[in-house]
Amino acid sequence: MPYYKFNKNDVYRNTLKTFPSVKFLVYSGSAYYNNTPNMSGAFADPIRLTDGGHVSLYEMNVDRVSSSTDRFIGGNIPDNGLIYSWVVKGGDRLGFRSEAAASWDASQYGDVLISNYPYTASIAKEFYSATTPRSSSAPIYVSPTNMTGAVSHILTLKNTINHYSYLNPQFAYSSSVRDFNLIELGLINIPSIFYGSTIKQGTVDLNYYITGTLIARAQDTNRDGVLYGTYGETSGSAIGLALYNEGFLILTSSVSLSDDQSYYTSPSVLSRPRWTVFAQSLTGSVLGTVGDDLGPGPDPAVGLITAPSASFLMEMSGTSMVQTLTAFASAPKGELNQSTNPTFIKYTANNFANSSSQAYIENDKMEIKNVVSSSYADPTGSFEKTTYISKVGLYDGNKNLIAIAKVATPVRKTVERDFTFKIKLDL
Amino acid sequence: MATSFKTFDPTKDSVVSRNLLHEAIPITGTIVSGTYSDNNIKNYSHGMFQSVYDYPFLSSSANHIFDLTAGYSAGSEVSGTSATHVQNSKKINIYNQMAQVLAGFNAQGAVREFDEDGDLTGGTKIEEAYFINVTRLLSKDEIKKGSFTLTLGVNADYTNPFAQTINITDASGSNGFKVNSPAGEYGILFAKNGTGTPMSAHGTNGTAVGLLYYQAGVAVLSSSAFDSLLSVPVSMSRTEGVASHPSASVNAILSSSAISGNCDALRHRTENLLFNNTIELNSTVYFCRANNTDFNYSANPTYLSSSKMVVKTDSTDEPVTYVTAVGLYSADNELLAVAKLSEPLKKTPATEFTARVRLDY
Repeated sequence: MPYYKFNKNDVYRNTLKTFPSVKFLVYSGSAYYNNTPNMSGAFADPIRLTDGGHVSLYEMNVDRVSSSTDRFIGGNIPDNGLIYSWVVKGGDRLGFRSEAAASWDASQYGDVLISNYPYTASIAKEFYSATTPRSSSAPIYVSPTNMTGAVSHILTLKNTINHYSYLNPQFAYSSSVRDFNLIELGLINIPSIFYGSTIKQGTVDLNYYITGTLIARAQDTNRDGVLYGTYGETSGSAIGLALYNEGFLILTSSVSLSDDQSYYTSPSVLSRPRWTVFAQSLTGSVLGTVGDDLGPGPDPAVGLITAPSASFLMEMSGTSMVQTLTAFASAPKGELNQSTNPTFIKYTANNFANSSSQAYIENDKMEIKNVVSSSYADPTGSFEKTTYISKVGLYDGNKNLIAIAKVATPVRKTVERDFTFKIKLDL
Repeated sequence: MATSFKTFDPTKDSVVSRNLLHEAIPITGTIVSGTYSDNNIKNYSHGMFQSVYDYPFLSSSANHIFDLTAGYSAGSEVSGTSATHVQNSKKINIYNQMAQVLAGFNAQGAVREFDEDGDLTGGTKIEEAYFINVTRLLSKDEIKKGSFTLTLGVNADYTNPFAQTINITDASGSNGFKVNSPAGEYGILFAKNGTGTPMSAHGTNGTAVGLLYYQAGVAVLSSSAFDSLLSVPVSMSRTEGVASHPSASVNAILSSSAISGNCDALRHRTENLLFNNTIELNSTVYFCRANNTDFNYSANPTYLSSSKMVVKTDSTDEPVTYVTAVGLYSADNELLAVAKLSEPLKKTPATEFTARVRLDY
């Protein structure tokens, strides 16, 4: 089997920029990512232990439920039926990010620290009314949850929003036209696992449906991050901003899109559909109880925000870089015309080697099988050394076989033919 | 940018460390032996092994968890070429393929047979074996030594296999593993009684019944686990015992059934498979030292306004910066990595700090 060394220009690496489609359908308290259904399994419901709108990072615990088995794995690791990761607390201060620092500090050296799968990620929606404080020393109620931090998420994006002002004057946290601290707005957070390195500019497409009928649509028609209405009441108007690199959509238009009212931000207050409540039904139930002292801002009521007549479709393309290695393997003329395959030799009874206690003598008159095509079975065509190349092996510097490229059908190689195989490997 | 770059002293400012992260992997036998009506079992037309998934494999949620196969050496008593020997050459090929990768070759260039106690100079060889190849998804860098437990149902009655069980563990693995394999380290699998007393006697550690290759993630299980190890050999296919139906013994089945049939029989008697895996986390920690006279000035455009530092009130105030990120550069000043702080750190000529930047790979 001959080996050939790749020359300098035979191997190159490049990056493929791909734009995977990302689609979220939000309806009645749930999101569905790329039409992933909520399937139930024989044991777990849903089988991935997370909803269709979530991605599961390792997807390890499929159709498993946690239950005590009274068994241990390797001595002191409890078997609860689930795959989970663990690490022994040591002087290297290694721990899981999901564990609070206080809890980590409280454990002893040598203790087993546990983290649970699945790790999941999902989109989130926050609604800021005009009166919701953007920063406060008390917890801030941003529908649907209390933010325990002193600064709201929208305020933490202030510098980022202002940074993109070179693209469009709409990117201003506070201007003479509007102030994000004082207007009603919605913030949609899309984790990067859904879109990769960045959301592709101009691909965000928001569709607002009431009882299955499209009432409004918004797109970034200028590809600068400003979302404009392209259908419905807000057609032609800027309705929000997209932070493509950071994965945020900020919806600022509170223009009524329809007269069909629903419970978008509170289970007790009807309001009209508008862009600021786009995907608001994703939030599901409202936390807290009436009369809670949740600091400044309105107290939340208990109940569900499902807006059953509204559904929301959010489409975009992510950006994913795929490194590929391309190698050109050449089969030159006059080479690769011999095979050690047993069928390369014409079968005769004299093919055996003579061996005795003194000698091992191979038959040097073995005839190569003539496989040249002919119209007749006998005589065959004029003999020509012919091999069929079925695969190309890639070896490392120590001649370890590291990859095999197979061709769909064997390639006929004769003395006067030369081939170059283009081998591509996604890294 | 006067003092933006500081050169590392490789002897003092960086250290390479390795940490071990583990995962607990429980595989309950019901997944393996029938919850999904064998829709999670993939058999191939070549018939040389069978793949086991944790969910019906046509679902995108399914994970490949291990492959099963069986084979015997050419010198085994169950080997033969008569019509009753099904897939004889394939079983020998499987055994030889596994043996040459896991046990290697002897001085004469012949494939070594698996050795029951790992001492290659002699002793009992495992000539008939089942192979459990755990996928990389589960075994990761290696199976953690001393954590492997396979519980097999060894009740003589095929239809009620778990009335008696044996636990097969690599109990000695944590300190008694072998290194004379080309595929890395391996431990001896020992069997002890689980439910009931199917084994009339066994040593303190148990009775050797197979091998576990930690880095390769392959368990080699001797067919004796269903036969000579036990007081009553088990039936691999019938309700009645082997005494009345010798054709249902493990060696008879190894000979007369296809590899897939042998794998089905093993799965039928698998109650549990438990192990921990190991993931090596290699890290380099860079100690980025900001001395009192370093990094007290910024080239950030917002640092100056009308040629005055905006963070200073009076001209006599000491300079102040807020460190938000640490960049790691190559020798020719190419930015390779950026470490961000969770919140800006105030830096003045009166303060010093060391940012500990950890790079995992």
